[in-house]
Amino acid sequence: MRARVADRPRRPPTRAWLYILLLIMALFYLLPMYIMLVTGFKSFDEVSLKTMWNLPSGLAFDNFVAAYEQLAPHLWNSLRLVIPTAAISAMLGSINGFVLTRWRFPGADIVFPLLLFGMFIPYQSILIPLVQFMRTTGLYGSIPGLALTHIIYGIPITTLTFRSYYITVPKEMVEAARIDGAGLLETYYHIFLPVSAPAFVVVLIWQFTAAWNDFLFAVVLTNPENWPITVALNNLAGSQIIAWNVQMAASLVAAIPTLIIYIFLGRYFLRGLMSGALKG
Amino acid sequence: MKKTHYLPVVLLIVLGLFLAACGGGTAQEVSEQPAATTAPETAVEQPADTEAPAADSGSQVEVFSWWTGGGEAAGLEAMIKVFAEKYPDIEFINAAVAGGAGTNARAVLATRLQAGDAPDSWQGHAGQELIGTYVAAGQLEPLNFLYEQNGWLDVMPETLIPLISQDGNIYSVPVNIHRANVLWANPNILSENGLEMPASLDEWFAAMDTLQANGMDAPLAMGEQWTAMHLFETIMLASLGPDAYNALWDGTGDWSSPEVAQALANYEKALSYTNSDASALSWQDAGQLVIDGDAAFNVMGDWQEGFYRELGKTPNVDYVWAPVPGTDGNFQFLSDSFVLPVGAPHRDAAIAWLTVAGSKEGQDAFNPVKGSIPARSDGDRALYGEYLQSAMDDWASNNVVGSLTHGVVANDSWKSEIDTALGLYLAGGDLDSLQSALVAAAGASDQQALDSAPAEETMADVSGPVEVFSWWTGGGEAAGLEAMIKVFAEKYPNVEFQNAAVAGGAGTNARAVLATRLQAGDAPDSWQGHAGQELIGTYVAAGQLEPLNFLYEENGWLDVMPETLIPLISQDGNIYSVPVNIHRANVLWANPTVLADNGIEMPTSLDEWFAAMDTLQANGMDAPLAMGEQWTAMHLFETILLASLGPDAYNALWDGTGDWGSAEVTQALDNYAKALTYTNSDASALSWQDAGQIVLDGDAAFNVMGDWQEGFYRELGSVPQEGYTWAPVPGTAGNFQFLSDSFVLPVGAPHRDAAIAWLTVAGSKEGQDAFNPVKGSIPARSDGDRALYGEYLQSAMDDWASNNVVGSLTHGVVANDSWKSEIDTALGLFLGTSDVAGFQTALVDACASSGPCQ
Amino acid sequence: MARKKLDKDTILAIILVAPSILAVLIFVYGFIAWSMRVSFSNWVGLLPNYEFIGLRNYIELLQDPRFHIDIRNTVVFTVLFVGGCLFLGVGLAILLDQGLRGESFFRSLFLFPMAISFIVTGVVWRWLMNPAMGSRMSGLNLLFDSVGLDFLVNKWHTTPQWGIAAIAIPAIWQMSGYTMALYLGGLRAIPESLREAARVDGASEVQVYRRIILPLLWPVTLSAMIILGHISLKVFDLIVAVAGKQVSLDVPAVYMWTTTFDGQFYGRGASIGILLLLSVAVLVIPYLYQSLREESTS
Repeated sequence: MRARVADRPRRPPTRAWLYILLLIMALFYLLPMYIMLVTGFKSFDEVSLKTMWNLPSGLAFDNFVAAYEQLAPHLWNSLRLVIPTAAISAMLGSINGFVLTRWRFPGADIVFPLLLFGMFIPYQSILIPLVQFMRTTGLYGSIPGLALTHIIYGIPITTLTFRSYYITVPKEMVEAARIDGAGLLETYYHIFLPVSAPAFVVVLIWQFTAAWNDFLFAVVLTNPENWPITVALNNLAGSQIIAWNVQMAASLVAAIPTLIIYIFLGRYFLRGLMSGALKG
Repeated sequence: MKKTHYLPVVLLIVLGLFLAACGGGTAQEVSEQPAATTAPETAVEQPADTEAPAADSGSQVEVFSWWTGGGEAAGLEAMIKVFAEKYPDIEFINAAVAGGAGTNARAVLATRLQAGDAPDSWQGHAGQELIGTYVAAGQLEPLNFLYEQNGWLDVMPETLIPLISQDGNIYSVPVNIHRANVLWANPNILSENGLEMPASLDEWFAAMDTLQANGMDAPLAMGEQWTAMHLFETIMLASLGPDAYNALWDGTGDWSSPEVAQALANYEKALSYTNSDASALSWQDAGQLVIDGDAAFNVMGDWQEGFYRELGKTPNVDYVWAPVPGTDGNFQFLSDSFVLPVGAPHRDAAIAWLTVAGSKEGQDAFNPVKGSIPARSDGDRALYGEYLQSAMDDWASNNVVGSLTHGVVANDSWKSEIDTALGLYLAGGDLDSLQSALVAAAGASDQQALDSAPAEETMADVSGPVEVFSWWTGGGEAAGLEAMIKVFAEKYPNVEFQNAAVAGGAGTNARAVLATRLQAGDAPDSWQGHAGQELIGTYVAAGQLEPLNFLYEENGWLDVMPETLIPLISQDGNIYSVPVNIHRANVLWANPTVLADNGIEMPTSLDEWFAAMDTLQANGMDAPLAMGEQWTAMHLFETILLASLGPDAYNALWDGTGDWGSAEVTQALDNYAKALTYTNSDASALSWQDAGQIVLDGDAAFNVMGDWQEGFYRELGSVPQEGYTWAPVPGTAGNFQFLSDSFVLPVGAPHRDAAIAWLTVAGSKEGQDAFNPVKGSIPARSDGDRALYGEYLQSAMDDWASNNVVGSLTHGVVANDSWKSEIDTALGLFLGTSDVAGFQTALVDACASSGPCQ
Repeated sequence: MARKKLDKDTILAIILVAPSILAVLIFVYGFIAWSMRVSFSNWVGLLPNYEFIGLRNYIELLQDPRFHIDIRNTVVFTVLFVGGCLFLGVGLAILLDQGLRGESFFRSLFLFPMAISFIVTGVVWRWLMNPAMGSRMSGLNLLFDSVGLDFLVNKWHTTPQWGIAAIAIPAIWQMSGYTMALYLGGLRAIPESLREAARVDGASEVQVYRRIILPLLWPVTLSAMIILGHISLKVFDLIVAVAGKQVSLDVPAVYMWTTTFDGQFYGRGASIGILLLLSVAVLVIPYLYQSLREESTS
């Protein structure tokens, strides 16, 4: 890793500018999070537009404790939902992307745009047939039903992502493998899967986040005992007076698992680099 | 290459986890979920309240609301606790979904209802939001029975009930009341600028001019678009006054009037005082501006008081309030309420929940915590703070009007159209286009009101002919039928109405024609018949009629037709006809002049009546009781039977539990024989009208006839109480011996859709209120518009609602056609022989051969 | 021999994608068909009513002034949001590709906005973009004012006509991190040997990116555009969270939601959905089909 950095010819002043640029960007991304964090520690009467930049008067964790108590029962629901969703979506996307890129079959040219077009369907307008479908299949109200929904509506995006990575894999490698007598699965396993890590990361991030933060499907398709964390988070707010300090604290609490996943998955960007180097 | 092998392995593990989640799911949740359901541990030891209706033990109730946070959630918890104490066996499932004043919640609810997965009860704003949406779709059960059981009508404000009712049915249980028209102000700003709380719009605008002159750019704080609608409704009320404001919503007002234009101009002026960043602020932010002294005023509902208190502010020091200028004395309210859906999965448990939600205990647990006042007027004042106590006083004494923003006065569709119109205006539109958009929205909502009646929605495009058979060919009957056909033509312009009316003696000829046509396989699309055994014993027994339960359900007729009537038109739970009107058979008509001349009062018992007629005969009137042809003799017979036996024994004769051979019946027949001695000898040559005419002319004092005689008398130009007077047949006071004309749907009707369309009109309020005032009968529905009916009919409506209901023999209610014809034969013989014993024997035989006495 | 094997694999290939295709057929195209049926109906109110009224809903929509605002807002929002995300995403990816210290920290930082639910971040942005001036100034305006960047002080989403542009900022804030991840993945897939070869040829670092790297990233750009485009058309909770429901910042997705569930106009709501789909079909599909063909034949 470090070796590669050293390889490159660098002009020091440029690098300083790069850091400054990076810090400015970091500021842009951090400002709203600063507000969230600061507000999360404030008491209700300290929260107001005028004083939004001010630090809280004390470091009270009451809001976080209150938030956690409300959210905790739904944490397990969310995990049961999100982990299988992300994993199955990634597998499906990888296989679809592979088949549609490099193992063509009659009509494949039509199938892919048709899959993609499905992405643009506005979810709000298909809630009713969706609920009816889930009820007839007996999946209504349950976590598997919700997971299935996320997986299916994730097919276009995951297929697309994998396809745009696999298209960069040189054709010659596939041909070479074929000449060696490798079948479909062998080609996938030995040539495509090893270079897939960055694509898996991108797709897992997407599906994990989408399923974790989804509110619309969750609130419509699950019953109260299976509500994932977003519904509980949303329910912290009443219809009239909203305690923003608890809300901010709660959304930070709810975001922690996603953050952990990002940090954990980030390592695979590096692995992707290694395999890319290997390939070259 | 090796290090990438674990990726598929990880995926496989995850897949396993997924399968585990699928399989073990339900078992897990129960133990995982103590927080979502209220823990009733403490409640278990507590004995269930005695008044609590028994609900299945181990049952559950899922209640849907948008109370998830703050005081609302705490209030709900408090009420759930009361519920758990009263019903420790019912598990409470709190299906609350938050989001934007219920928007998310309503979307979830709508989706669940579309998918047939209704919760046991849900929250909604009392008023058109519930009525225009769910009641119009037939999704809610009327709750009148709950109100009666619990005596809520006495403790809920009278003004509230009509707003949560439709056609006399109450559809929700309101839990709390909020006030919308409150002006909040910063007292320090006011005193610094030498201002008082304004009492009129002009004063208010002048005060804000002063503030602007003193350097405050935006003296009126406002937030995002819905708060602009909130301001809109209060200024409409202030400008128009309560009556004109209400008229706009009930369809009697004119949205294009200059008064509305003036109100909109006031609104525009008020907006000119608001902050430019309004759309970027929540209502809380806007309220904060007043507290901070950045604005002097703010119009918001009284939940703002709770927000101020939570900020630690002191009333009358940090903030003051008053009704929005120009709305003093008016309480513009909104209310959260709970409903009972048709087909609730756990109906008993849902009723238990509604019982708690409407109880004093429940409301006094909920409201002090939420910061609202109870919908009941008997809340415990000591539990409420200063502001809420003043609101309770105002609620009790003020004129009550509904809020637009919060779902009271307009249904969802109308409100969303107004919202769009306001939004376009706020985005830079002009007043004229705002007003025309409001006019258009009001017009569109009328259209929807028509559309939303479910049967009409599906039926409006029905076309083709419909042939309806009746015996209404003359007088009030024909005119009434015409009036109803007119209503029908308006609703179904594409259906050609073929009036197949055949005249003849209380339908006798008509029925013969009908029977012939039926035998020939040439049935009309619908026909008239007397509700009761005449239809059931004849056509239903022959399998000629389709059950109409679906029509009753679609149109909610079960709620508006008297309960006593339904069993009489049903067989084995199937309803077979649509009754259009109600007539009373047991009416004694008298000539007041004759009575006065002879010093006689209207008799109240058979003995008094006979004594009076004895007096009249002694004074030279041979036949003081006028009678007509044989069927009028049977009419007299049934009333005297009722008078002699009382309602229970009378009914028992018809349902087979009574004994026609009993001594009581003998006594009744003796009474009948005695009554006949006072009648005119030419009876058999007279029609019922001729007999009635005799009384009017003073040639007889009395006459027993159904109340259609009143229409006849009025047509003759006679004045009630002067030309004629009436009372129940002596000895039958408190009993309503009724008959009813109704329409049916034959199996294999040639134009079934059109026939259903006709029945829909015949059962509708509009149809019945068109027909009955003209025919001179009262509507079968209990929600007829009293104002349309005359003096006698109004008294009949009261009696119908309050009296004991029994059926008529002559007019087909209590006996089927064959039994009735056997009785008719026996009676005809008796009129000739006057042999009471022979008559009684014949009656016993008739019951055994054709009636239920096997 | 080889031919036969290929056939077997072709069948296997079809079997592998068949479940996805089937699911999409039901859940996407089946439901679109249902939506179309509703859009041709006069369904108002809770009770389903499929009475056919032809194109009336569509005609009314095209004449609806609110829908005109929606179309304009969607176009402005989409251009700014997709453009902004692509620009920031590729920029950040290249920045992080320089092998600077703390790369993994910054990468997670840029992704983090995506992890937080819009329900709350929308409100934070509503505060940040508070347009009040003078003594009530707060949020970013106050920040700009106090650090001397007065010229940046503006009215944000309350700016007449162009308020929707301000709404794109929080959306870019949230999604640019993901765009960055897409590009970063793409960059890592490009063999180092290609860059080396270019450098050996004497190309400057800027030229390496312009001539070699960016063209190779085109498939990633295309998929990013599609992903961002579909978000942009469906953006709903963000707008409601930042701006509430107000007509001047209305977009079709918000209109569809409010008219369907607040107003009970199911027919009209379905028509908006179908119009959205049709606009995508007309604008995107031919172009998409073309580039995908070129891609796979190249």
